[in-house]
Amino acid sequence: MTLLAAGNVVHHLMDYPLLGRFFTAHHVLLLAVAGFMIWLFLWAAKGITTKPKKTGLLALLEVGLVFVRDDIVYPWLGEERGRRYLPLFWTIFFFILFSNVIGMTPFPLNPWHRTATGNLAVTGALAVIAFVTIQISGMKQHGWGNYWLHLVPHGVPKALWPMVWLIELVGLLTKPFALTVRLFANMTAGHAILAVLFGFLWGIAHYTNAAIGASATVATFAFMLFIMLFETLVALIQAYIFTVLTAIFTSLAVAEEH
Amino acid sequence: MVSLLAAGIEWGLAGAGIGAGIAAIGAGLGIGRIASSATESIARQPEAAGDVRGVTIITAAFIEGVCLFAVVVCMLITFKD
Repeated sequence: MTLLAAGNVVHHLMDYPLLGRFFTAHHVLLLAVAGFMIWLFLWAAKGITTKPKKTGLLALLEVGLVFVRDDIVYPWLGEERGRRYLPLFWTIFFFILFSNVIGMTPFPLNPWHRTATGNLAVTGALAVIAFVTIQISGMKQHGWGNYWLHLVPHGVPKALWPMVWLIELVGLLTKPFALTVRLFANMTAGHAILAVLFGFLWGIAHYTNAAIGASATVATFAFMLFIMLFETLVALIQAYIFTVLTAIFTSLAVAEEH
Repeated sequence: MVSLLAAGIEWGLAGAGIGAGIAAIGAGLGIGRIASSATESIARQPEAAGDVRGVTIITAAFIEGVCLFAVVVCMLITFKD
């Protein structure tokens, strides 16, 4: 924690090499989340098939899985298509959720003080997965060339057609960019606020007036508690938003009039 | 403000800060409008609360995205070297 409180705030949001030159803290976190998810869902799959009554962690996981299925995928993609996309959306949702939450856990669980989703490369890769999913499902639905020809809505005058096509193309590329920046900025902003608050404590530690120092410490910790709770909410909402926006864009791509 | 600039804060950095503030104002107004309409419609039709909540979060995310674009531009200004 003393590590967090010192120096420039931006410095504490950046990735840093951990093992060797190319293996960074974010790599470790991503691998940890991936391994954790493989273990957790293998365990859950076994429990769901063998145990008749679901209790504890298994029931909690089932609530999350059913939420993604019934509130995100099926309303937007329909049951028939949604069933095929469900594993992908489950993976995206839980991967982002666990990355966000593990980024918030304190020392023993996460000794590197970083969030894997607070990295543009990570969120960009997730958005590329979403982009490829959206475009390929659109192309499979409408035909590989037809999809690109019919980007422009019907009824657009012939003279405007090239310009509108270009705008639609830019619109397609903006969507994953927005997904990237939204997740990255949300996770980074929360951690920046926490780092600034830890910086306050660093300043208070050098303060001589006891009355002001004590009240400032209490106020800082109260605000930090509030931000931590808020960040828990943000971690959930961002996982939800990334998943639901991917589902919406996929449903737009496969719609008759896309 | 003027005294801050006189104290040697660079114009570009000051602009980045002001820009981030203006982006926050815009996003606050937009999301506030969404929230007010959402609470109104939930008060009118409490049985639609679940649907309204989902749409609210999604549209707020879109506005937030625009705001974050502005913040990224401000961040790029501060990263110039």
